[in-house]
Amino acid sequence: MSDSKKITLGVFAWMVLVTGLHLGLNMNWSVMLNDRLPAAMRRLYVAYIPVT
Amino acid sequence: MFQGFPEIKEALISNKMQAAFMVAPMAIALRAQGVPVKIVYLGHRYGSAVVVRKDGPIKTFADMRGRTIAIPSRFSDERLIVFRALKAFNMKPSDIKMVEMAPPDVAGALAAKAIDAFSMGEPYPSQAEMGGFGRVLFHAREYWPDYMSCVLVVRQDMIDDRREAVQTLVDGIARSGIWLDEGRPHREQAADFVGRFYFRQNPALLRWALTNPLDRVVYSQLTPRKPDFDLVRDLMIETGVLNRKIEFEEYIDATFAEGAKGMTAWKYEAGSSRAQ
Repeated sequence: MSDSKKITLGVFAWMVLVTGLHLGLNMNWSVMLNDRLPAAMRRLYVAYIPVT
Repeated sequence: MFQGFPEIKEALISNKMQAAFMVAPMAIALRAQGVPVKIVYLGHRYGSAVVVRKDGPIKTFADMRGRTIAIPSRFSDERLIVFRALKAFNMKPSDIKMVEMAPPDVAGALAAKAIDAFSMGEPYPSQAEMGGFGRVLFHAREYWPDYMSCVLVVRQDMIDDRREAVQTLVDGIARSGIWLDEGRPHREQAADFVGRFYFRQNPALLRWALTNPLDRVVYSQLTPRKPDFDLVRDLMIETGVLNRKIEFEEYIDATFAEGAKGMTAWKYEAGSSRAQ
């Protein structure tokens, strides 16, 4: 395999890895899926701070 | 779970969150600025205190002259209680320096002498007491007999389109409050599972805050009352964080509190994953 192909493959693999990590660690899939449900079926999210 | 009120405010405005517990003045200010939200219930009564270093020079509030006190937000009851104390001691706002600080940071800041005092909700006063470096100068009720702090705010579109969900939420809060106020064993159980699964704080800390004494935080009388909110509104105007006399009906929807009257306490077995 030529050097340029190796580099291209390496860059592509790196992008896939970083994208996968981003999608896994930074995306709140439950919120995104919840947003796509009909309004009447969506879960209601309540925000709080651990303080009275 | 969030770490600061500004983040909660943004999440509510952007509809990432449909409801939120936030300090009452912030909720009133949001509505006054046209954000479509309404307060539907209280979270609790009391539960805030001004805390100073245990062995420090501040023995009364008058000793706060020239000192720095941390508050959670300029739109907070904890700031308003400081103003009430200033008035009681014939002091001017310029006699002290107020700084805004995220609630989880205040105990450490007090211990490190970065601030001289903080005005904050539980469990942070308890954290300073348990840590051995803090002393409660006064509890909020001392200068504000019907003190309230956190309220439940809901987006108007939720109130309009999903009333039953909002009512279920308010009913649950009402039942939890009745259950908590039934006595020490329930408060200790709550400290355990809330500390471990929701607040991610030491259950012993929450146990201290909920039982030392038992009425340090009270979870009854949570229906929004006009005199309470008129007082908050007027204090906000007086202290320069609100520029119009917004009426109670504009930012409160008390129908859900009415619907929650007659609720009974949860039936909950310690260690169970469900309540009835």
